[in-house]
Amino acid sequence: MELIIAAIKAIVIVALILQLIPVLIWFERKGSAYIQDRRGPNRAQILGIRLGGMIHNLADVVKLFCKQDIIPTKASRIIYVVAPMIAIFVASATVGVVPFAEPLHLGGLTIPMQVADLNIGILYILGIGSLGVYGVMLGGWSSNNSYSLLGTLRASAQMVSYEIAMGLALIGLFLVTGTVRITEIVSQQTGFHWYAFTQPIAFVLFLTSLFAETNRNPFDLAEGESELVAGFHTEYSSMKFALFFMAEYAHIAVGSLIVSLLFFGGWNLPGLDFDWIRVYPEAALSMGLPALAVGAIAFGLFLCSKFRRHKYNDARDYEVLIFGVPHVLIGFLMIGATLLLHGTTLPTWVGPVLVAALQMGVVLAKTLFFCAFFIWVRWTLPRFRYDQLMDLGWKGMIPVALFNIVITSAWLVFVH
Amino acid sequence: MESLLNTDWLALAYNELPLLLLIVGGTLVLLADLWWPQHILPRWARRKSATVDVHVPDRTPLLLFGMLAALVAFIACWRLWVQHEMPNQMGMLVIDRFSLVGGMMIIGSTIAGLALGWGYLFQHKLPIGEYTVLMLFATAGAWCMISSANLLLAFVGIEILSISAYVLAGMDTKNRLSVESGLKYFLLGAVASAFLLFGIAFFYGATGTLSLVGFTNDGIMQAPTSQFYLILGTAFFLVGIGFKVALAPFHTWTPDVYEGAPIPVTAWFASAVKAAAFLLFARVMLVVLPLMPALGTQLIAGLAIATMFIGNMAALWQDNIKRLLAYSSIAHAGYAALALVTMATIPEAGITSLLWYLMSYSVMTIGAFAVVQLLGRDGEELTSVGALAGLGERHPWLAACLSIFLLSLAGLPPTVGFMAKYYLLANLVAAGHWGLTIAAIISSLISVGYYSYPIVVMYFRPVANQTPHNSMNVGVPIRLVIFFAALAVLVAGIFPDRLMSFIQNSVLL
Amino acid sequence: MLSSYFPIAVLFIFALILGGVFVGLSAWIGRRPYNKVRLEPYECGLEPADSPRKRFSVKFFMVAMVFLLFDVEVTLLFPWATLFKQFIASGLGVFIFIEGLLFIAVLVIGWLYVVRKGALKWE
Repeated sequence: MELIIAAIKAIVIVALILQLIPVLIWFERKGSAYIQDRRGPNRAQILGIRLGGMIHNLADVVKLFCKQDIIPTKASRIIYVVAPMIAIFVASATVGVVPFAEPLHLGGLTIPMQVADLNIGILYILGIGSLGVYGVMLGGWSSNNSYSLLGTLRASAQMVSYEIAMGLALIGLFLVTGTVRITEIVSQQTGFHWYAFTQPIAFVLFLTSLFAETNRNPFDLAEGESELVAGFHTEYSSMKFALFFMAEYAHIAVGSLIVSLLFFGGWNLPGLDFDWIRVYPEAALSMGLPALAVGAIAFGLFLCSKFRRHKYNDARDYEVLIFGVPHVLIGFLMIGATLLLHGTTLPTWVGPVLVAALQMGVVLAKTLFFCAFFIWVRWTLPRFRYDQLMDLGWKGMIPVALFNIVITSAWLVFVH
Repeated sequence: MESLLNTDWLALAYNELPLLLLIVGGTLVLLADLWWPQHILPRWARRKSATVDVHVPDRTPLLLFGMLAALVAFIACWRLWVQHEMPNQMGMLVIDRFSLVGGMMIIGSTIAGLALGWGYLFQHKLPIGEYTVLMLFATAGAWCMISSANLLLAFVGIEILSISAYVLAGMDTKNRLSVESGLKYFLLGAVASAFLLFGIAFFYGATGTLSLVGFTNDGIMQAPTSQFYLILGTAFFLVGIGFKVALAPFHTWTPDVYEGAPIPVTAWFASAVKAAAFLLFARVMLVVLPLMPALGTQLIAGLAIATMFIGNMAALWQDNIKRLLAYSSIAHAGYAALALVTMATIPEAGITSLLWYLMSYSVMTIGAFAVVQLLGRDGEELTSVGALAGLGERHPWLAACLSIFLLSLAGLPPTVGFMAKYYLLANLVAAGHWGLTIAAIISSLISVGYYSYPIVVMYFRPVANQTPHNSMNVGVPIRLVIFFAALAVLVAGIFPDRLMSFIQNSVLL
Repeated sequence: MLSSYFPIAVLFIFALILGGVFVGLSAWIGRRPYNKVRLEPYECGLEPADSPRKRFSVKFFMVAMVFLLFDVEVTLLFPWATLFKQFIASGLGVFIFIEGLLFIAVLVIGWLYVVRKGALKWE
């Protein structure tokens, strides 16, 4: 039983993270396009349906699987093959302790909404996350290519440098929380007591080092495509390249998840009283569903109003309808459900499940916000120079983080 | 938690004053070194003079400050020694007269080492600030070793001492030999530390505690597995600490490291590092040996015999004074290990003779190295024995001092070396180890052969070529070191009573 | 206690299988390389100018070493930070604050040394 629950949770949560990757890729492509005032990918299609470039992801998967599987003759074969596996392993193992909602109580059974509720909490994430440097390092080194090696050296030096700032920023947070268990940290942030507001320095430092850890712009010197071709994965092609690529986006997703849990209140949202919803799911539903229905119908109608028969003269004309009509239908379904619910008493499991779903929705919404933030930053800021990067890490963030620790602890002892 | 509230922190700080002084002094030097101005000394102080044949660098005050800090720590040790009749156990540290005497010995060696740095560092353009800092930190580590009641703290102390020592050995980066010695010392030392840690882990497995106070002969210790772990732990510990003090099968690093390291550092290795490692060795064996079968004592005795003979035999073929003194230091480690054998049967006598031996050896080896250093010409160390030819005519006082030190190392009267060896062997006989005593005497006779070699060269070999042997002007401190060392060797050799009673007062078990 | 790590083990196995399946599938489905030139190290089509298996800047070793030192000290600060509030509650706030301050002072001194000695200076 335990094995089955654990396996289901592991698969579902990893699948959730993997599911975010195509969304993020699509978001990145389209987002960058709109930031640069162009259209972005919109060619791939199935029966003329293009879904605004979404189909490109599908095409990419097919393409990457069918590519030539190149292992350069000079490469160290085993390490070369293992390195991308390490990268994806680290990216998907990091979510092990990340909770998506409060533990679900179902008829005497308590199911934590995470793979494992470890008492070491964030330390697990730091520990596993720091293994990520191995994928990068081994991949670049084993390729036996000058560009790869340079990219690897830069990337690993950068990752380890910012890991210290990250750890120190978290110490500032731990001083306030007094625990490293993520569920407890989240439950402390009720209302607007988000740690982003009580620990702003730690928040900024953590976010910044997260950018550096994921090798994202403005810290993407490891790739530096104008200097190093593609950095540490220059020699990689087909699915092995894709694994590095996926690992990067998985890192972004997990990183955003952690930021929103630690600093942005997790599933706490001012105005949402989960205890009340858990007890009175009928009232919550009869208030929430109509509001959602109105929103869905309005959005669907707005999309349908965009329908012009001869705009493109192909299947693309109907895309707005493909999206719009279901929205309207779902909206009406919701209204129907509300009417049906009126006056009935729901079974007891509805309350907890509804709360869990809501909390998960809130967490995912916050996560997507930070993912968008990642993409926004990438396409807005220019790249650092390498000495600037190291100076920022060692001479800027570390002293500031130490200062934050001292100030916080002094405040706790003498003022609080 | 309650105990933390009730701790008298000031008293604690007062009892650990030597350690605090060393650490704070070292830290201050470290920080001052970072922002030290380019030109701080007035011109008259910087210029070449009759006493110093190189420009005095601007960072010299750091060296002086380091010496001052060590001196104050020495005085603090002395004050504590006067006040502490009984051992004072405070958590992981124990302040008794044994550790205080050890502290004085080591801090004294450090002062001498810093004084020897004056001149040598100028000539060889070595970083003065870092030399001082590393010396002081290493001494703090040595203090942690000798005054620890806990094996974990002892290990931390060993690592502080060793890591500083690795850097000090490789300090002269322009000299290939020095770099080689630093690297060799580091690699082998790291392995030895791992062995030591293994030994400590097995001790923990046997006793369930890391505190030396907890090593008692209770029920747990009687279990056969405990005995097994204890023997295993002792074996590993012997390997690790045997490396640090250069006992025979683990001594091979010594000649290379001693030869390559800068002479002041070598002198300090031979005195302070060896003394610290031996004192920790004694402290651990003092509680471990009574719990064990005689096997442990026999192991140490075997190592001691091997060390004495290997050291003395190998030294016979040396043509390089630094290597010669290195092998002599190996041999002396063998003699000192005999004191531990004595300790197994008569603890007081064993520790007394160990302290005696280490103290006298420190003084004479520092003196010998100081003379060798003084003989170096500008920027070059004098290392071959042949170069000593004619020294008896050119510098009679220096030759006399070197002769005194060498005679003392050989263990001939009327020097302190003789007294130390006499007490050592007398106690060994008292403990009933006749065979060991005879072996020690034989190896000591062998050693006379190579100790007399430089003396013969100095006085009886004609000078081959009349190269102007100029410039021995490397300052007053080194001359002071030689003078005081020679004085100590003679005075303590002729009138040993006061020193003897001082040491016997320090050993209250 | 250790049983709470059981789901983590399941996750690990799953993650390993994931990577293995992806790599294995692409090796199976993908075309075989038919052109020997493609298997050479990529250097814009030219013969590789230099072997990458050579010595590189010592600065990177420096960074790695300094990272090791600092990371260990950060690790040592974690329990201090986590138990900070409990110490305050038991009236030992000032004590634990000063202890932490001393530790951080050591960290800062080390950091100052590293920075002033130019170990992190990039040309």
